[in-house]
Amino acid sequence: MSQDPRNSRSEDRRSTRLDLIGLEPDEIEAARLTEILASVEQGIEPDLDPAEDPALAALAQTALVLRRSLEAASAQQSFERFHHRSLARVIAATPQPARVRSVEHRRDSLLQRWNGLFTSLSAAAAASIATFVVTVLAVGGSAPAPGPLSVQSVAPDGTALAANVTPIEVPRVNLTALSVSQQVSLYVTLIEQLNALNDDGLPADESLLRDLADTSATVKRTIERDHTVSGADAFRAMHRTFEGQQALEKATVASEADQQVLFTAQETAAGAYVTAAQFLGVPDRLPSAGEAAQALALEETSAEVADSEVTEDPSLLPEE
Amino acid sequence: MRRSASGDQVSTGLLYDAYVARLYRYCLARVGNETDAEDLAEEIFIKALGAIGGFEWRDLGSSDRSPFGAWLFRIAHNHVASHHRRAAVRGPSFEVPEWIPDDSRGPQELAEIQLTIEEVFALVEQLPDAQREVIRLRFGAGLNVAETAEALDKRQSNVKVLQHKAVKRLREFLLAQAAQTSGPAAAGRNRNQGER
Repeated sequence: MSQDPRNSRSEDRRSTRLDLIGLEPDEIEAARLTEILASVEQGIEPDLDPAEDPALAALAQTALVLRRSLEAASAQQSFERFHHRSLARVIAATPQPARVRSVEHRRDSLLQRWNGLFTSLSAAAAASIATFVVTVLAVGGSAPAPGPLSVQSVAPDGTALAANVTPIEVPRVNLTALSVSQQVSLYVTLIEQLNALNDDGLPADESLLRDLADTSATVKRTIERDHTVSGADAFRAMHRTFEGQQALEKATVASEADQQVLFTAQETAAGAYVTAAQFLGVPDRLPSAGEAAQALALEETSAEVADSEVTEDPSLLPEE
Repeated sequence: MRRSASGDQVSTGLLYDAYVARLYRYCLARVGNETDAEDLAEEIFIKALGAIGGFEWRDLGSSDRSPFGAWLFRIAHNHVASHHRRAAVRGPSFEVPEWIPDDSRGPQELAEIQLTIEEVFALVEQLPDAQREVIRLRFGAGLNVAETAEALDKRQSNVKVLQHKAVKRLREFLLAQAAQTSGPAAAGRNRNQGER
């Protein structure tokens, strides 16, 4: 049975009144003002009759004028411009402890990816992936991460290997909820992982290739449909999906099934690239040289930060 | 937040989008000019990003908002204080704006009016320190009472009282200004409406 909201509010009021017993008049008014403002903030009609309590109503009115006036400051175009400018700098300043730069770190990253897969697949299906993970361990070298899940398999050279890995929750990103700029940033991160595998001569795993395909397909759709996409966004998307195509050309896979996913990732990257290029073909959409440089500087600044961190922190360097 | 701490740039972007407006308004209410507010908002967020690994989730009781806000605005509070100290050493970089009365405003119009940021800044500057900071966090940053108390390391009951005193005083300032611009007859009317 549903409760009448008016009764509920009346009960709340009675309980609030009990809370107010023993307070000084000013403290009661302070508590009531807080209560009224909280109601307004939550979009609920405040429990206040201006005729009954004009002084409190006047205070609430003053507080709301202040709030509204301050909120207007961030609704101006100048704020929007600042927001866009600063977003690139803030993203570039994201700490990069997990940046894939060392062999050991790459192995951990892949183990995490595999653990995410493990939680969603049956044990039988996961067993086929274990061979791949162990391959990574064999190349990556040092001791496996401790954890409750024990995996035993055979490396390509026939050596029996065992790894203890902790399942880690890998949250999924709702790509369509992101701006095209954020989608491209995600794509760049995935391409970096692919490049790291390519550099080490390791095959790309299916999950990574699927993420690449999904992301570039979403970038393409966003450019086609979202009218807020700017020329600088499209310019950056075009460059990054071009780099993605190059990385995907070099990629290797471990199975026939993965080869199909690789083809899909190549096709969607090409599709996003063409769509971005077509977008820029419309007059007035081409960004200025400064805007284009700023768009591309996003990842370069980020890479510089990460490089300096890797150089400064010997523990992140690959083992000799 | 966890993903941002582990270097996920997309998550950082989303976190920034969620807080930048509130951070900017808070800074604007503290420094009174857009340029400094922009610089400070960005600096504070980057500073918070660097320290995000040290953030610990704390339950604020009845609050349904993220205590990340309280943590962020504690950093903001300290950072702007440092900014003011540095500015004091360098000498003032801006003038505190004078209150600019608007003849069209009486208490009747208060419900509809919107003050400029200069006007809000000039008004809030007249409050004692503790009241001022509560107003900036509550109405600029949009923190609730629990988060404001957490950010200022005060009890919630204390924040409620400070908020009440501050709003009362701000109303008096507004009424006094309206009385000055509207003449003695209007002042009498205003008093009757503003007082219990």
